[in-house]
Amino acid sequence: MTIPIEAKKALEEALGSENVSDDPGVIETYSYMNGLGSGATGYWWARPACVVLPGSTEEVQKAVIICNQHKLRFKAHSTGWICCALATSKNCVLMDMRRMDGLEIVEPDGYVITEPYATAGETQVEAMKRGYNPHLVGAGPNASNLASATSMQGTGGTSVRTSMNERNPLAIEWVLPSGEILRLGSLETPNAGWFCGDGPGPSLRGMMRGAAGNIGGNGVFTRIALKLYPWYGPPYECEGRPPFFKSKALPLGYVRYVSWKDRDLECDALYRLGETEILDYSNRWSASALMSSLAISNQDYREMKKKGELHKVFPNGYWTFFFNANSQRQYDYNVKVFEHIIKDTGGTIIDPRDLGDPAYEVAIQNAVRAQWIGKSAYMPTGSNTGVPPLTYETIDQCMKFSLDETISVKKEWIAKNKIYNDGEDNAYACLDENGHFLHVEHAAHSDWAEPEAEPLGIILKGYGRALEKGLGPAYMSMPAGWAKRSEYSRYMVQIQRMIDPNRAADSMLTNAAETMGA
Amino acid sequence: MALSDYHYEMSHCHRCSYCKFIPFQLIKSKRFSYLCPSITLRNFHSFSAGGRAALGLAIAEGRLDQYTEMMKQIVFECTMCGACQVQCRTFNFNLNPIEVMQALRTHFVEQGEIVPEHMFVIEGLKREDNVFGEPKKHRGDWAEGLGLKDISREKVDVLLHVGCRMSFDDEFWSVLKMAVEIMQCSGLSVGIAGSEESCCGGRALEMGFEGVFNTFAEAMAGRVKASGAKQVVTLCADCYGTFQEHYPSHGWGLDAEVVHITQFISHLIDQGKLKFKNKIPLSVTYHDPCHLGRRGEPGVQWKGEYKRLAPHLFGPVPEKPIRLGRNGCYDAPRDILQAIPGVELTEMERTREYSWCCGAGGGVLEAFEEMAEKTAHERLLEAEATGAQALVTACPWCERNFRDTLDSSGGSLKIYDIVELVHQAMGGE
Repeated sequence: MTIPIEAKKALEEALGSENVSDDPGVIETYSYMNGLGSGATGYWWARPACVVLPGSTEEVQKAVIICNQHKLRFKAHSTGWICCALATSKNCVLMDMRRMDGLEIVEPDGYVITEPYATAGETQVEAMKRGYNPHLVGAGPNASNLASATSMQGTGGTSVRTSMNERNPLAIEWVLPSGEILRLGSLETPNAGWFCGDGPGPSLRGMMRGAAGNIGGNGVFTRIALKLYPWYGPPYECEGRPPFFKSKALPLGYVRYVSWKDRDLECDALYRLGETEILDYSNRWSASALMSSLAISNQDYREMKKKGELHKVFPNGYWTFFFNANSQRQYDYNVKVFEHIIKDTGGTIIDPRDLGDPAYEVAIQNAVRAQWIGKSAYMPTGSNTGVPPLTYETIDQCMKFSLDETISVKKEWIAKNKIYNDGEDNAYACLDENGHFLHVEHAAHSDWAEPEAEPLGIILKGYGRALEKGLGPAYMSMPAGWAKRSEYSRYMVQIQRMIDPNRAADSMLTNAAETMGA
Repeated sequence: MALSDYHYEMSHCHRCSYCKFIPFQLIKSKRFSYLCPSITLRNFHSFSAGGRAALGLAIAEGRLDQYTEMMKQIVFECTMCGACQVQCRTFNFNLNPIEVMQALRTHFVEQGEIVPEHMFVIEGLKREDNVFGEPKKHRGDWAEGLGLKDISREKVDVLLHVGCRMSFDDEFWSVLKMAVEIMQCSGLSVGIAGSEESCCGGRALEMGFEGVFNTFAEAMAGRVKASGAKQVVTLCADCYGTFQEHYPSHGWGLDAEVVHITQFISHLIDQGKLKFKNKIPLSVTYHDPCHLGRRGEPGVQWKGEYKRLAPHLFGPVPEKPIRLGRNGCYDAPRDILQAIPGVELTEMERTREYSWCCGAGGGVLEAFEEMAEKTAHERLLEAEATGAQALVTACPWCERNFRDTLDSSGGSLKIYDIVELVHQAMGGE
């Protein structure tokens, strides 16, 4: 769709002509995405009508009001690391938030005030200098911390310590789809600062994002204060040559790979490890994922797979556990407790260094900075379609029931070459809040260039299986889940209708709802 | 390779935005975390490696029915510094952004979509064999009275290839003379082509004029062969990168070892042929020229295609060389600086494979003044943040752009070619 001349002119006056473009070349580059979901839909998505680069909350507000006036939709877009960041309506003004990349660590209160384009990795670097650590979303250090706290999911390996990112927002500045600016929590009270999301002032954090976010449907979050957690010891640093570099020693840091032969015992260990509260990072993945991280080409990956050495070491997936202690005494205690629990549950502890320096670097760089998770997710085929049930549930529910269901669904698809044969169990998982919950996603790789590729069906099949078995697929914000579980999404839609009378916000969730007649 | 030959690669960008940042493991501050000068200036994703891959894909698939001025700006307002290539390639097996961007430029030129300012360079090359269009007969003026051997008359051990910038920008002539004095410590016979020297062709290639590049590459190969030189030494990082990467990757070889002046000097120090008499009490920081560092990594000509290795698993057959910039020239200049008595080297946050560009390359200096100046200014700020008194580099294009930017922006930082410090330390005037 071509943007009306009057609307473009108004946007140029509000933001500066250099920050507005409807050039075909520009909007084309914002309609491409190969990665999450592209195997199902292809790598071209909707072309936005226009792309704008707001530089402040006030400019965002002006742009939103213009969209309302001209019956255009809008969506905020940060580093673009997921298909949900793209326009899903053709009359969408895509707001690339790159000019809003501010980041301020507030001491000694221990929070960060961040704008949309400040990444999790950058936040961590600045936080660690001051003895803090932020939540890092599993998608990686390239993801916006603001986005994962307000608009989409927010789980990661650090969640065992830092919780899902929905629990970290303090005060928030929010441009509603109507164009009003809403300031939540302490920010609404003059001179009170950013320290609290629950007041003095309105607390609407639950409404703001629900369980997993409305992926652009609730407006634009322009600034947010996020809780930080302690980081003991020196800031993490790396040096050396690409691709793996070399981490500088963390004197009281401890990272290990662990695997179990028995799933029940694995679950027992996870509950017990959570109860001890010693972990700073937990992440389950597979031999295939580790090979994806370690390989430097598809041929290299193929050779590793052919040799099968990592599959022999980790036939049932493996966990990466990490902690960074605040004293030698705590370190010794943590190691003792950790080793006792693993031994008691029949697990095998592997020092990543025993698998070579790159394997160690992958372990420590994931544990501290979520560095290689994204590579594992998309290599070697280029795209990944998660197999439902993507769960955020108890450890038992995830590990004893959902995981096997996803493996079963994957087997069917692999047998028909519809997705890549990655060894079937390629489930990513992380503990949340010291084991209160577990989050599981199951990777299903495919390449659009493969003639028999058909990953879309696996999503629907997975959701169907989840409902059939009563497993409760959690991520109902995903459009494919909408058809299967509409009551959750109705709340999200009702909230959006209340704050978005002109239906100006462009959300994959609510677009899917409309498509399906909800 | 044609743009369409990169279809698989262009359609396998993950849209991760890694191409916009230095590796997240290496970031030392939010202030200096960005990697790509192009998107840092323009902010639209289109101006990143990922954006350009998407644009190339859209063109290859016929999704765009016109070429706009903005599209031309997207393609050409980039210094071709190659930082995106190094960062992307650590994360993605299936995309080589710098090759895609080169193919895009060649495609645009083939379609007649040319940056007018670049034509001044191309016309100059065609008419006078140099990028400035200066009279060719003056190319060797800098060497008058030095008694250097003329390779058109006699064989030499070492051919000193001067390059367009140093030949015609007389502010560099003193540096050239110092370099000659240093090289004579080797005891080898050093010669030049003088007025018969021509451009390496690298600038033409990076502006998208592959045919012009091939003409100059062929001439250079012939000249080196005729000289009998065992080494081609240059002070220009742009020429060095062209000889190292572009020549082999386009099927051109020089029958001699290509050596940058920093490698030559470092070798002299190691051999004990160069001694430093003077102490230079100076705190410095070093700027890695892109075409000496990551783009100085030797290139390899690859002819093949992406094939299905297994269901859902594709790869280049034969295997494509993996370019991570690791084999560029990074240590020689640092070894030299550390060997000079009194010089204290402090690194900037973005160094080596992930050095921030000076802003002069890829045809930007000639056509996109704002980008050239802002990119250089950003680097000068980074250098100042180290607390160093001086910024040292090893490329006349970088130095020119830094000096000009400093003139307009102000600041107390001194700019040196590394040769100047070596010459001072060895007792030269």
